[in-house]
Amino acid sequence: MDRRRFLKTAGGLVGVAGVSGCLRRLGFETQSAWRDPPLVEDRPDGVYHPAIVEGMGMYETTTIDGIGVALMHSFPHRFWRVTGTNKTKVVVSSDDSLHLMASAWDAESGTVLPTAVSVDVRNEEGRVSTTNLWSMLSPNMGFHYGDNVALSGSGEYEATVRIAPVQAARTRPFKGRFTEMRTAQFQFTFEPAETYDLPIRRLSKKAGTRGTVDLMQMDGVPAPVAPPKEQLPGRLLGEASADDALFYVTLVTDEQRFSGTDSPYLVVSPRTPYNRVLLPGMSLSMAVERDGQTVMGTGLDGTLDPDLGYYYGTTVDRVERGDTVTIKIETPPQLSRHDGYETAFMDMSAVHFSV
Amino acid sequence: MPTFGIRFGAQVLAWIAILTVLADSVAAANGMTLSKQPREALAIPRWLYLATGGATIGASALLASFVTDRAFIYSLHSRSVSLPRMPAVRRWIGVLGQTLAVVGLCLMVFLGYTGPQLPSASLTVLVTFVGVRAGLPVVAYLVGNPWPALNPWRAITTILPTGFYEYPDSFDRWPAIAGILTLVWVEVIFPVSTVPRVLATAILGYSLYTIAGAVVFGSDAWFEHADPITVLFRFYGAVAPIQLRDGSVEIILPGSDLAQSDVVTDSSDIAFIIALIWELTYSGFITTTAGAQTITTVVESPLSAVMAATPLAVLAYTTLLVIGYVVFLAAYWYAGTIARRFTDTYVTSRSIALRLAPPLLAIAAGYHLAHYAGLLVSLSPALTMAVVSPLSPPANPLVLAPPNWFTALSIAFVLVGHLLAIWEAHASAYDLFPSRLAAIRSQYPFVLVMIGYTIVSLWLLSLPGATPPYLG
Repeated sequence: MDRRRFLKTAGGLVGVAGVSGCLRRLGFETQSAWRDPPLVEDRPDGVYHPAIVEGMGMYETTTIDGIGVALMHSFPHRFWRVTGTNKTKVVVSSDDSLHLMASAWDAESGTVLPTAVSVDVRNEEGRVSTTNLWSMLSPNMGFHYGDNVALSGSGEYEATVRIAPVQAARTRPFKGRFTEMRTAQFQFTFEPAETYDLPIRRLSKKAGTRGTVDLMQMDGVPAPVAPPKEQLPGRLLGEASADDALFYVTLVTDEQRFSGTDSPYLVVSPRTPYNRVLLPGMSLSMAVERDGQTVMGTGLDGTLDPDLGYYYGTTVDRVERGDTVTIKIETPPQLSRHDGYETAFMDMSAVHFSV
Repeated sequence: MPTFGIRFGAQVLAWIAILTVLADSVAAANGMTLSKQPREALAIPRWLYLATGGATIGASALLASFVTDRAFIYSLHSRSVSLPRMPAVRRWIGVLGQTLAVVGLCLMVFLGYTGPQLPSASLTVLVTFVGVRAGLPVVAYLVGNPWPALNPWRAITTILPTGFYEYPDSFDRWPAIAGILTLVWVEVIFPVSTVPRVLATAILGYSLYTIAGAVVFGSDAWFEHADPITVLFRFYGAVAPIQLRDGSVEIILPGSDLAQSDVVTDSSDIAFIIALIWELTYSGFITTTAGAQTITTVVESPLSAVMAATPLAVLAYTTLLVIGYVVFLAAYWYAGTIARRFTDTYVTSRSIALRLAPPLLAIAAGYHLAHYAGLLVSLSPALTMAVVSPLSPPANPLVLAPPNWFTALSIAFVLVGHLLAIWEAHASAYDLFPSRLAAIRSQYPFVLVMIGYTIVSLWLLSLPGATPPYLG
């Protein structure tokens, strides 16, 4: 029996007796049993192992105009929305049916696209829901798009996923690409029993300790990760950590790919610890100091590159050996977080590097 | 009666002192939840806690001493309404109930392995903990014992050859006591309330055990003496207003059967009733911060050099279960001996203890309700959804979040149980002793023990909840 029908029947049955309204008047409130799943006590201020890691199921992947799109599902679950430096807990509401997720990437290079993704779900009776998915970080999925969605019971659905044009700057191979809205169509069957077949890992002993689980390997879906330190272009100025986010900064002097000019170029590649997951959605600025004097200061451009994924960069004309480069985090990653990432990357202080 | 005045005053003073200490962190809790998650603590106004506690003491002390009119006590306890016998209806209810129960049992085991592995969507977990652990005992002590009409294992044994050996008389109900403590131990140590697969295995194991027992010793003897669940329901049912007497259904005042001499016939019965009170106290204790602290202290003690953390924690939980039970039992036994000394009669301390044990069931019932009412109410929609469509689980099970005042009721439940127990002990004593003075005196030690149990219960309710540590 599907849930709406159940609610109607049960509501009808109970309504006759007046129990439902009576209970509500007395202060009883109907909630989802998963409204607030187990949360670790004394969460560390940084990336930690959550109490539970929910598995993920793939509905379908498709390619549309060179963009790979995947539609995935999991149990409806709690997450944390981030606006500026404020964090809001989003609990599972009583009519949520599943956690619908999407990923989008460049089919050729496998570069994961940070953009805006919305999804329309329809069934034969018409539109069921329209959702602007949140950019999210989760322990086993990394960077993806998702939200809890209410469907009308088990059955066939059609999902229209819209991938908005990428707002970020692009390096050469991507110039002129991802500039138009792309739409991918999916058919899927929602069946609660299928959701229940997804694995649920209870990290009993590890829960609450620093660290995270491995990213899930997904067939045909590239992992949303930044390249390891050794593969970064240019000269590594150093690494630093701000509220558990790892920052690598390199100075590129021998390539024109990034700046398009002969000027040196500064690459700032932040990522999560342990899994190297990309951290888009930040607003960064930099300043160069020499002998206690600020000689230049500028904002960093969020940029998409096939080798680096999403990074932050700028041309730096006036930089010499011995200078200090300060990267200031104006806003932390504007990404919703699953349990395990909600305490990290929030209160991020500036990081310093010497040239 | 000047001595009474002094005792009364001392009791009130002692209570006020205890409650004042408690009231700083007064909070009510709703018992163990399915996920072994911490209970939500709620602040209650200090004056309410103090006033209710004080009023209970006052009322119980008054009851214990001022109602000396035997005829009045007797008339209250013999007040009953007989319902028409309707044997056919009762037989059909039994057949229907047991058929449903057997089908339900099979479904629970099957879905435990194949169904959703999330407790709030699992029929197995919901029926076991919300239905049988929380709901049915409530029915048993508030309405009447439903278990004889449901017992699926007894229904199964009716088609099996049974009774190869005579049930040894000397066993009395001791196997049931071992059984109930084992069930509580399994509930604490294994993730039966969180992982349906584990629970299904436990149910299978229990089914094999109890069916084997019934086959060997005969169904009647086994379920009357040794099956812990059946014995549990029989005792909780003794509090209920609906009683089955000689094949006819009677409606009596709630609890008035507790003053009857046939509820408890043996020392093992006392031990079982104490086990009921202790298991609720125990599972209440380990889900509070104080309980978690105790276990953590043991595990982090020098003993940890000898043993790994998890086995040591299991050992600590087990030791606490056994030792606490022995202490509770000894306290009651000692009260019996003291009572004998007080009354200076030829009535043995054993028979005093036997007659004053059934009223403890009212305390157990009150504490059970305090412990499980929240769980029962909040998970009843999830249980209903699971039962209505067992084979297609809901996408998102629903629960009812009880308001604060409901959580606060648990203190009232504990106190009402206490009141009823005092009153029934009073009636028992009047039935047992020819002298009014002896009857009143005999109750002193038991009243003290009951107050002790109740203080522990109220204290537990005042503690903030915690997840029992070191258990997966």
